[in-house]
Amino acid sequence: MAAEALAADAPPRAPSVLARALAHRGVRVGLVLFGSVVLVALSADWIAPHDPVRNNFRYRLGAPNEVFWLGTDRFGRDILSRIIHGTRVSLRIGLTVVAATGVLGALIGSVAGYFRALDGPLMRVMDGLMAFPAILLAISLAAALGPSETNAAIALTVAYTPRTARIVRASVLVVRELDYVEAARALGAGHAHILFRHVLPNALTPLVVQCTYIFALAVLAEAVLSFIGVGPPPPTPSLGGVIADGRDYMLEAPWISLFPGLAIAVTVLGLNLLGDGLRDVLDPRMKVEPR
Amino acid sequence: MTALLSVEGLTVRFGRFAVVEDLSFSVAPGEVLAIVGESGSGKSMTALALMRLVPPPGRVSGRVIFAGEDLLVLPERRMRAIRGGAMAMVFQEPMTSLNPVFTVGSQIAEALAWHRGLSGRAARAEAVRLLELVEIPNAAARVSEYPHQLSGGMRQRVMIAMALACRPRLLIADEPTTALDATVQAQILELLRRLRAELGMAVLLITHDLGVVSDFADRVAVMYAARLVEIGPALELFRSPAHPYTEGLLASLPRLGATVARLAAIPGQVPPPFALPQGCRFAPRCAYAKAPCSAALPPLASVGAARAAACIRHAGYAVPA
Repeated sequence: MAAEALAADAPPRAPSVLARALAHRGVRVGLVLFGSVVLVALSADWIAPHDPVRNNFRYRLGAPNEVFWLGTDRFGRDILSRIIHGTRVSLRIGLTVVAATGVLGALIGSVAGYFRALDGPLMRVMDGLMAFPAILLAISLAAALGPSETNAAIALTVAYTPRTARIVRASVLVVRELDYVEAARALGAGHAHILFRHVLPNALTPLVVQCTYIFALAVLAEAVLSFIGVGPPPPTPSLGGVIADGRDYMLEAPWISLFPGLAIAVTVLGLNLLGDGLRDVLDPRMKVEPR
Repeated sequence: MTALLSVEGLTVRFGRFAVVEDLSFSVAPGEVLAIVGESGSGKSMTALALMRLVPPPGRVSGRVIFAGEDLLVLPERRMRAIRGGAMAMVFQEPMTSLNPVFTVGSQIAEALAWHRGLSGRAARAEAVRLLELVEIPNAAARVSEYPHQLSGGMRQRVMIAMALACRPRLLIADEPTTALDATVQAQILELLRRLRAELGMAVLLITHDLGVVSDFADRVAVMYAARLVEIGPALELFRSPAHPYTEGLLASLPRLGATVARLAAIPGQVPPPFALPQGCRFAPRCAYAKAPCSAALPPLASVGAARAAACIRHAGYAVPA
C-alpha cells in the first residue's frame, strides 16, 4: 500500500467537481427529475400519443381513460400530449432566459464590480428594476410587448438580470482585490485582459448556482404569464397555458389543470435540488449542514 | 555611472496623510538596493508607486526616472509596456499570487505574449526554459500543472520566472521570502543572487529582515514612518549605523555565539500617519533624544562617503536651520 503510494508519480488528486457533484444525493435526485423532463421535451414528437393541437369534440372534457391517459380539455385535446409538448416550450423559454440573464448579468456585474466609476450608475439601474417584484415587472413588460414566446423570454430576462448582475458584481469585488490580479497588473496586463481572464473566470461559481434557480423561476413565471394570457398565444401548448385552459372546469375536469401543475412542480423541484446540491459542492463555505 | 532608477521627492498621499514622504534614492544598473523598515513604514507602498500601481484614492507625486523616462507622467499604455517588461515585480504571497484556474505555463506565456510577441509553441518552450532557469525540477511536466499542485517555494519560483520572462533591467522584490519557511527562504535568496549575477539586472529588495539584507544587498535604505532615515553601503551601515533607528534594528537581531539574556527591542511602535510626533518621528522611541529633536524634521545629511542619515546628533544636536 505504502509502496504503491510512493511509486505513484503524481500526487493523489482530489476528486473532481463532477465526481463530487454526482456523489451528492440532492444533485442525483435533481438530475434524474430534471433530466427526465428534458428527455420528455426533446423526444416530444415521438412520445406524445396524440397531436397536441388537434380538436376532438367527441371527447370534450373526457376523464382519464385508456386512450387519453390524462384526460382531454374542452376542445377534446389530449392533456398528456399537450403537457409533453408544453414542457418543450417551457424549457425553451427557461433556457433562453438563463442564457440571456447569465451573459447580461456577467457583463453588467463584472463591469460594475471592476470599473468602480460605473458601479453607481449600473447598479442603481439594476436596483430600480429590482424595486418592482420580478413577476409584476415581467407581466407588465410581456403585456406591453404583446403575447409571444420571444416577448415572454425578453420580459423574464429583464426581470431576472438584476439578480445575476448583483451576484457577479459581489464576487468580482472580492476577486479583483486578490493578489494574482495585482500580479497580473504588475506584469503589464490591460484592464480587459485582467477582467475577462483573471477576474471573471474566478467569479463565476455563484452564477452557475444562481442560474439553476433562475431556470426554475423562469419556468414558474412563464406559467404565470401563460395563465393570465400574456405568454405564448394559443394554441401553442405551454404548461401554464394548459393550466389556464382548465381554469373554468376545476370542479368538473380537475385533470386539465392538475397534471400540468404536477409537471411544473417536478421541473422546479428537480432544478432546485440541483441548485442546492451544486451550491454545496461548488462553494463549501455556503454549505447548509443537513439537519 | 548614470543611475538606472532615480527617485526624487517621491510622496504617496491618501487624503491628508502621507504614507511615503519625500523619498529620494537611486539604483545603479546591476546594483542591489534593499529598502528596510517595519510594517507600516511605507516600503511596500514605495514599490507600488514605482510601478504606478498605488490603489485609488492614493496620490503619487515627485519624479521616478527609470532608464531616462519619468514613469509618473508616462501614458498608461507606455507604462503597461514597462511593467513586466523592463521593470518587473515579485510579490510577498506566492500562495495567492497565481491565478488558480490556469496552468503556470499559460500564465508565464501571457507575459511573453504581451512583451515579446511569442505565442503557441514558442511561448511554451520559453516558459519551460524559464522554469528551468529558476531551478524547478522536471520543468517540462511542471509547465502544465496548476498552482495548487505546487508548494509555496515552487510557486515563488514560478512568480520569479514570470517576472524574469522579459529580461527586466530592474526587479522589484517585495518581501519575496517572508511567507516561506527558513530553508526555502535561503534557496530563493540564493536563486535571486545567482539570477542577478547571470542576467545583470538591478534588484530593489523590500524587506523587514536584516538577515536577508546582509546576505544580498550592496546598499541599504532604512525607512521609518514614511521617510528615509538612513542610506548607505550595506557593510558600513551594518558596522557603524548612523541613525539610532538602524542601530536599534541591528541590536534586535539575534547573534550567533553571543550570549544575551534577552534580545534588545526598540520600545514603542511606528507611529501611524495620522498621529505623527512633532519634529523627528523617531524621537519618542529614541534613547538619544533631546529637546531639539522635537523642534523640526531632521533633513537627510551626509555622514560620510556615500552615506546619509536623518539625525541631528551628527550636527551636535544643533537645531537645523
